[in-house]
Amino acid sequence: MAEIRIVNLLKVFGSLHAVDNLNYTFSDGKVTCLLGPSGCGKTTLLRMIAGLESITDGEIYFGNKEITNLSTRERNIGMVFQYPVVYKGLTVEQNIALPLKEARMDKDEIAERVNEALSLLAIQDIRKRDAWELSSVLRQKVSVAREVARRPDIILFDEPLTNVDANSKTLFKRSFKELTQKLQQTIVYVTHDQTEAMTFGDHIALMKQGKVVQFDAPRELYNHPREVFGGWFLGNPGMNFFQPTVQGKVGGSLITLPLLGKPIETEKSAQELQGMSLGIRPEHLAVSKTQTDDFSVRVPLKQKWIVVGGQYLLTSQVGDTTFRIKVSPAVGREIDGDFYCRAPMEHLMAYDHKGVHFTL
Amino acid sequence: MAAIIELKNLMKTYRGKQPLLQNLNLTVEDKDFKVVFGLPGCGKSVLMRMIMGLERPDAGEVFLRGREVSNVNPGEHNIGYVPQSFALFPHQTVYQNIAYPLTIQKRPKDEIDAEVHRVAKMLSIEELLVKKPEQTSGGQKQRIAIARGIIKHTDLYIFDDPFVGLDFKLREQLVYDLRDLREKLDTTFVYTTSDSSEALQLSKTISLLHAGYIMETNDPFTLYDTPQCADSMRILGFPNANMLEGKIERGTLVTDAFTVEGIGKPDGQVLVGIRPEHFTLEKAGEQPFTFAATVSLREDLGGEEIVYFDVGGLTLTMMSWHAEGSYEPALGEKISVSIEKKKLICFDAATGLRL
Repeated sequence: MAEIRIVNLLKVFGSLHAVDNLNYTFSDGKVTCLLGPSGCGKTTLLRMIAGLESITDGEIYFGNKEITNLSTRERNIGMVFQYPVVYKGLTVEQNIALPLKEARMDKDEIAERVNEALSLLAIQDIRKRDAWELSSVLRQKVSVAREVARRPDIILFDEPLTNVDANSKTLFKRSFKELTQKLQQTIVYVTHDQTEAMTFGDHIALMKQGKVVQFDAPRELYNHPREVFGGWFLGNPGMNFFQPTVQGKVGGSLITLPLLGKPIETEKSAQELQGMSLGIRPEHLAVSKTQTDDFSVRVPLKQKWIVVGGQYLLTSQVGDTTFRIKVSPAVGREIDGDFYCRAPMEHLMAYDHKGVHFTL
Repeated sequence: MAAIIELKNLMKTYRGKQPLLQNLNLTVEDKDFKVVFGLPGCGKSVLMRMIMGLERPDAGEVFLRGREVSNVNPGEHNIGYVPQSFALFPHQTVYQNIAYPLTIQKRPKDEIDAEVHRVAKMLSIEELLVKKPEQTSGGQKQRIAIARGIIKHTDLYIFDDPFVGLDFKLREQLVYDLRDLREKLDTTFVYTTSDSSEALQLSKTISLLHAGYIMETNDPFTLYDTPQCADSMRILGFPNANMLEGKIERGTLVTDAFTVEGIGKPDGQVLVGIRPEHFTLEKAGEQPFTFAATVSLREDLGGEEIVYFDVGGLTLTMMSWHAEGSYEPALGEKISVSIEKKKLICFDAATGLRL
């Protein structure tokens, strides 16, 4: 077990900075998810940690040991790929034992480790089956078990659910979650799927164009995205963004937006606030069918449909801005025309003209 | 409203296989956004190809705009089509790719030019027109294929699962785009998918294709809230509905997960459908009953969670909302789950029909 520390890590392909001078520590015994759209550099970073990709500049440490110039074999890592790796003609337990045999481990030790790995992945009942004959999800579990049995310092996962059929993904997720809770293993897990990252990660490194936009615990990342990009990328659908009106006044400015009700006063100058936006998640907008003191802004219902868990997603508009609201089934059923809407202050996130969060 | 498509008693069996379509009947009204929804491999693409005239049914009739079309050349079906696996011509520009359906009709150059720009603008891909397909991203390619599918002026467009394999954020945007597009064009869209969310978000009406025929047709809200068939409930909705086998004896429903008295349905073998959002961790309102379970996984979607729990050898799912102070059980924790009796939807186990 070891933490992973990357220092000034750089990977350049031609003119593209695929991994752009990163400095981070991935905690010992924790799961760090590298999350981002395709082309953000997450897989390149993982491959550099694995020693499968040369580095342009920088250093990588496992614990106190620098491993920058070590080969993949010398790094003591386990890897699970998009395609499950199982060896044809071998049973599940033979598959798991294979690397241990190659390392000339003692027979009893091998048996013990294989049993432990089978139990951690809850696949004892298929130990004698030919691994090649198994379903995609079971083959992927066998791949994980083999890496676990080797007891490496670090296990790297590269989108392991990509080729698991949709109905079985849950089986893998459950197994993975149980495994990480019991094992306390340092894991780096690459995915473009926010649900996987939110479910598995102790921390998420949200990546965009070779940079880590934010490195945080999942809920923190979801609730307080430091950039507009994070607000947009996480959530289904992502955050709504509004361009408020900013008026300078003595000692600061007034920020107004129809959905706010009363304006926000701030000490920041109108100059500083130029091009700012206010973000709010669809589930955090409050709605009412009738007008009340709290709900004075009437908005049109443009569309509504059912989303995850029977919730309703309402589409509405103020000025030129289309926005979406996620409401409970009961509220959603009731709203069938114009309604009243409010953006509660406590859920608003302010972003500057570059899309970076600031405190009002 | 008039019907633009009418399919009557369509049959199709591929040699050596189970029948794919059996007595399939489907009517699509003019200006509908019709989603044909079904599991992968249920025959959606074949059905679309039959409407296009690219595939013949073994028996049955296809009517387009009131006319039986079995002897009509597919080119004269006059349908805009975005197939599931669209191939863009790699050596042609995006412009040429989009113009293709008009080029083969030998339409005048300036007309083609105006049309290409019209659809490119609609899909916000004008700046791509001079590029080659390889210089565009996955989502852009999809939009190019859609532009090519809608360039023809007609009253009917077919989209055969066009977003399959695209990443989540892109699909989100394309779903909004497509709904807007139908409204702008004010024509009929037929769209196939095996994704519940897409079906619920896009459709004016959903027809559920299962076991070779259209099992149920309705607007998405009615179909979601009051499915008439067990299979409809099973496959439409995300997360999937919980479906439990059970037995009613003297008014008491017994399943592997729980027993509930006074169910008010006739005795017999049943399937009980429960939407994940109808289970609660707190006591529910009217006539709730409660049972004990163990949390096995919590899947975090951001604004909400899917909680998987084990009970009586089954794994069931419920929704949990992230709110200030809400109860968030740990994995392995014992919980009490409640549900109102009226939220249990019972189907006859033999026929699959709602009781």
